Amino acid sequence: MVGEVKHRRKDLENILDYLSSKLREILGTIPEYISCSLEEIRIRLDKPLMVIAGEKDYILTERGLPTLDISKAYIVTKDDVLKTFQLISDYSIYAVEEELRNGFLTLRGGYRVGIAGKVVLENGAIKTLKHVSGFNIRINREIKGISKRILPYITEPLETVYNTLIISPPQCGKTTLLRDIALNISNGIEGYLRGKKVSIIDERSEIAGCYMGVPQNDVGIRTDVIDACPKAQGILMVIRAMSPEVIVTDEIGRREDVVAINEAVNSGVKVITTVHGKNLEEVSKKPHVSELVANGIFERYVILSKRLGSGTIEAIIEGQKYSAILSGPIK
Amino acid sequence: MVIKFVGAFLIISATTLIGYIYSNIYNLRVKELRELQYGIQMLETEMVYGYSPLPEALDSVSRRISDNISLLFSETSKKLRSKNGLSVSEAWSLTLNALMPKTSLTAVERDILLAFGESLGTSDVKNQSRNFKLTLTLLKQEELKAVELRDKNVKMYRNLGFLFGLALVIILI
Repeated sequence: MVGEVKHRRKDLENILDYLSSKLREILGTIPEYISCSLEEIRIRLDKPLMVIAGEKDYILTERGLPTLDISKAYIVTKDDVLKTFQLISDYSIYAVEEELRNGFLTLRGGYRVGIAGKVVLENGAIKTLKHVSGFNIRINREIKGISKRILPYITEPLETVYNTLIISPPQCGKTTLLRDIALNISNGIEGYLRGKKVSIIDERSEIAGCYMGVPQNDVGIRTDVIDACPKAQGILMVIRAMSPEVIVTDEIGRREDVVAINEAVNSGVKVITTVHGKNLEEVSKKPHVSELVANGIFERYVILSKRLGSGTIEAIIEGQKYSAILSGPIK
Repeated sequence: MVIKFVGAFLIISATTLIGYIYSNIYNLRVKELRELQYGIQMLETEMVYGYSPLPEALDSVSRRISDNISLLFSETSKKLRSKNGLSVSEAWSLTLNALMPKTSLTAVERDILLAFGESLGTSDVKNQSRNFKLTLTLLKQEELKAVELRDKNVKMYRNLGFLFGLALVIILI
């Protein structure tokens, strides 16, 4: 836990470099009980500066202290927003148009910054964002080892990895879990699992947190990352080019994702992926994804919740008879 | 007699030299304006076609041009890289204002460059391209003016230096 606290402090320091000097000053002095569990920094033009830590939000004063009184809050200025925007884009807004189209940037260190503003359309497609008005800087949780508990349920000694679907509501730690699974399968576990070639299709740059194509999160020594690539195309790409044993990707849902996953499974590649949902029943009502469930593509389902804090394992279900092989909640 | 001769020679060489130095300001100005345009053009290529991040683009340009003008690019890059919270236009104008006395650039060019720095890096490729074009057109005009002034004045100052020396010698003799 102490290591974790230090880690967060370092995360905050890394992020401060990307903020305007005023915001830097304020956030540099926030109390440790906030900085040690910092999750998000919310910067909104003309609105109070806020941070989210331990699933609670704190409004900050000019001195970096939390307050409940909005009139005492530090109000984010136009200058803060413009300077922060320049800093997070490395002073090169012209060079990040592609990222703006997706609504976020990834910083060195793998931190993701969501951007709000006015969308400029061209032929019905998003061309870019202008009049940027807010940022959400997310500190992703790279928690090594959290997948250890479930690994025995989704793998068999030495060779086997099961096709696995992680079912989870938003913010329950599914990407964190997925990342750690990828890391462990890629590195292998001595005496238990041989390290396998893993390809991560990271459409939203969240799993590996690539900065200029280089993963900023540890995703293992046998892992290739295809960054910012549409899932379906990426899956087909790696099957052809990277000879993966396991494909890891996040948040499936579209028709073409399902087609690509079928293709992967039929080529003998294992797939580990996630979907938004509360339980298996809910997922089996979703269009497209339900097909995968009905056809028994997945051999294991891992269901997450927030009951005991984010990352709670509700159940692990075996994919043939849909019987629970682990029931929670456990954390 | 010998001393007078030597003295006269010294006076004339000194004033001629002053004339040359004076005329050189015009030469230098043209050279610097050309260097500046050259640099801005390279910056455009780096940014608009190469999508290099601004600090890198500035550095790479500064290495390829000479003299004081390269400092404008390298110093701005240094300020940006230090991540001390300055915006591009602040870093650019700070560097420019510090550099002005070391160059032969005038207030006109300073205004052009300040306006240029104002939107440098802060918009999409299309708008950046526009900013470059406008700045280069304006600088080109200044260069043409400077060339005209140079052609007119360089010869004059050189001759003036020599003739002034000669007149001085005649009076003193």
